[in-house]
Amino acid sequence: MKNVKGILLMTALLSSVAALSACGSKEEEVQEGKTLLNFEYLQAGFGDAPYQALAEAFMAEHDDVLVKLRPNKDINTTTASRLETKNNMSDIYIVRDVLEIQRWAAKGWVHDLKDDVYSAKIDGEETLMDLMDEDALEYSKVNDHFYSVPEYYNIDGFVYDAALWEKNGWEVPTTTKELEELCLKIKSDSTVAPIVYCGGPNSADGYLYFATDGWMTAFEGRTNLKRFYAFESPDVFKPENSRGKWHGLTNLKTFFYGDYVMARSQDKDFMTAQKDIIDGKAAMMLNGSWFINENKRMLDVNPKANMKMFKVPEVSDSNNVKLRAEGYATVTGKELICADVGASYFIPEYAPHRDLAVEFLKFINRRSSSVLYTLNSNAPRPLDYNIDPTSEAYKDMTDFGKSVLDIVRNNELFLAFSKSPLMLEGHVGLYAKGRRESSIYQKMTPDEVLEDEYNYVLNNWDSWTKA
Amino acid sequence: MNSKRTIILLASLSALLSSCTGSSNARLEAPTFEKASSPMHFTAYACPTVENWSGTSNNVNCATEEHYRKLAEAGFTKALALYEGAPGGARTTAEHVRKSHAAAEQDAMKILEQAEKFGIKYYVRDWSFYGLVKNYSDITTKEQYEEIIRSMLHEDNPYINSPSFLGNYGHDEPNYDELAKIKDQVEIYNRVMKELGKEGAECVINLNPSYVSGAGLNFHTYSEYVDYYFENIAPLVGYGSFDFYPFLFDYVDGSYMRQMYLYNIELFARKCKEGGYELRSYIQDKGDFTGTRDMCGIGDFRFQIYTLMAFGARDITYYTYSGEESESEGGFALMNFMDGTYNWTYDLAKKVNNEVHAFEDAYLSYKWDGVMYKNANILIDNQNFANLVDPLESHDRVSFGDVSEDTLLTSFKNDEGDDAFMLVNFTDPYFKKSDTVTLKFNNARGLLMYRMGQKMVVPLNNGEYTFKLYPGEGRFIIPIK
Repeated sequence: MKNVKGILLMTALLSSVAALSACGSKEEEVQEGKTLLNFEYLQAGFGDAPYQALAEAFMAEHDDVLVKLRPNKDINTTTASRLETKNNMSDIYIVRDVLEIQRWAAKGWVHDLKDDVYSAKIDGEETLMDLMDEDALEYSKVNDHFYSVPEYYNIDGFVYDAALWEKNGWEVPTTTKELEELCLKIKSDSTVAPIVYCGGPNSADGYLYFATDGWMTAFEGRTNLKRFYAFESPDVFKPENSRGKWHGLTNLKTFFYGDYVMARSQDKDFMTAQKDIIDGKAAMMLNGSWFINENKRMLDVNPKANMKMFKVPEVSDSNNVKLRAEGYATVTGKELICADVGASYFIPEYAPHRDLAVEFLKFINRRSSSVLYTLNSNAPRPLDYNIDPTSEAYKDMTDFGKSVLDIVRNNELFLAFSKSPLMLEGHVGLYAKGRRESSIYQKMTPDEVLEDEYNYVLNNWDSWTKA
Repeated sequence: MNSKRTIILLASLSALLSSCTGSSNARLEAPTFEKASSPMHFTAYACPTVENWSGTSNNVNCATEEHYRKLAEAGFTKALALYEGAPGGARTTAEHVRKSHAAAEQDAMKILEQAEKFGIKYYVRDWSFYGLVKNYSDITTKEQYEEIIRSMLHEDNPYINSPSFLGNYGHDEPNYDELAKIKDQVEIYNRVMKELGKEGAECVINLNPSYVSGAGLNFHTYSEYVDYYFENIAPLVGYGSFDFYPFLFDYVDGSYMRQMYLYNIELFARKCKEGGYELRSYIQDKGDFTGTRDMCGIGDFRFQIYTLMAFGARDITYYTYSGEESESEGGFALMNFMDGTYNWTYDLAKKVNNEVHAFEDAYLSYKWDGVMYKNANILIDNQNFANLVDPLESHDRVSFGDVSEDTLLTSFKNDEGDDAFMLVNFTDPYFKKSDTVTLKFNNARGLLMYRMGQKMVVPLNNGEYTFKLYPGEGRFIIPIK
């Protein structure tokens, strides 16, 4: 049993009691004979497993170091004040919003990793720049500086119970035509709802954007999306230039706001909806690679469930022909899927043990560490390392994890980001007025949404660009 | 009343017996306190409002004697308008200002009439004034602000002459860039009110909590934001106010407490102490779409109120007193203005507010001085404690013994240099953990303390006393030499 927390606690108990003051004041973070490295991350879907694994492996090589895990549900709102006050700071953090890291860097709070990590030899003679894929490298670069390292690519899709599907003879759909046929079959075969989502409060908007973005990405292709994210003219929001979004929103209406969705999905929180999938009450749910870590307790009491994930099916017509935008292109010829950076590492400029944090971050980016991370998170890192689920390294991986890696290997990943000031200043994004899935729920048509977006951009473009 | 007297008598007898059994030769003389010039304030945000306040809501008339009697009985001393004075449709800024002010005057007078009967003070939300610096794209200069303010505040304005009128709601949760304009707004407000012989009328300004960042603060740091306020606006209004809602809903554990709660309170308490300003803040009394959870019991109210008082707060606003929801719908406030019914949280608020009023004379005669804490498990840092910037290393009058839960202890001094302390069970009351705390006092033979509104005098055994604090409980303690 990998009970790192227990190990840390016992170690701390034996070695640090003398260093603690009796009351009231700050407790000295000193462990006899060991340097304490505080590692803080968002306490969320992945749980502690990947971070425990990395901490354990690092300590195995550094017996003079104690890595203390600091999971923090509140990390998005606690970090700025702690960096500013230099109080209660951890040595290394993982946070979701890379723009926040860049803003903190502008205030001098974040250590530039260019020389210490990006240019350093990480794995043999290879540097992190050698290992990291081109998009992720560009994503992390700020005026020739690097203040963050991407933690993982968020791979999403439809999560399903393969055991339930096998029993019913349901097959994974590859197109929207097949998805619709499957939904009809599920409805006629069983009492299982084809699709459930979590539209309730604080539940990531039902993850519906995984589907709409997936359909848009698959339809548009890399070249068109790159052009869109350059935001060089308001024309990129013209309805006729937004057919990928149109397909996304149209399919959203068909599959999530029609007859195929489980009753009251709009009110469900994410744990309830996930339980519906695990209990076999629904057949599919949009979700991410953290699914089985987040639901470990529920899966432990449902050992027959064999969860897997398939990518959002390609947009197709009624003849099951896959549809592509004009100018569609990819680099590899594989189909294109979204792959957002889920979170990023950074090291505070005034971290108590900054040099050690740098060593830990270099360690984390080794190929062997990335395998360890993926084994424990089911999420791929944006680096060059082994992600072959059939290889010996992944022999103990769950079928869920392997299905995620299959999605990664069999498709071309597209990282959506922009260096345009319009996006950095928050004026535009994929949608200029924020996510629009709820507009469809509120009965706007996709055409009306796209028209509304374009008019809004057109009306504000001059003021945004002048500013 | 009788039971309270009995307890005091027993406590005094106990102290007397203690002195006879050798721990001291003299009877414990508890200090007495003069009536405070101003009470501990509890402010009802969104107080009972007028019928059909928006013109479309179909709510019943809550601006009645019955509802304001209940407000006063629940220990509220101030009311802050949210719904009254909602403006009708307008095509131009001038029309909007005129209509807003007319609506505010009309509604405010109805509330003031009831508030006056029960000694409640009222902040008017005149929508021609509230949010002045951001609501109108064509109103941007000081001259324009002054023109609007003078059109609203003049001798013929009936509400400013009501004995219950306390001031106007100026701005809630401004971003950083709005602060400079708010300074102008407040300066003009103060000047005009002085000309009208209403010096002391308050312009209510409430800042964002520390969990707002990024664009919400125009990419300034929270310290920069707070510093600007205390350098430029606090001298004009005389207080520092912010809202922080600590309890979040957690899908796994049921509840989660934000980690920067004490940091935020400490920051404001320190600024108020340095500048001699009054500390004001808010409590969460319901959950909402932002992820905050509904109240689970009286401990939630006690926890927030005693924690704020532990840093010297003298004005605590309930967010919100009224709302559209009843208990079955979730997100429910103390009362439902749609049908005029009360939720169970009203009774809890009433109990806690009145237990605080019971010792306000003692509490208000001291000023906050510093903060200490103790983690129940030395291996697990309570992150709220860890985020305190300037905790005391020790205190010459008191030290911690054992604690069974994470415990907050703050210190106070009065003008004579006498000490007092607030002791708080600092665990999320959702988990219903009681805290057994032993404190050791120096140079003290006994304690005067206030426990849930009841005054107690107890002798010390070798300077020590062991407290049992219920979830959320705070104990105000004054050592007796």
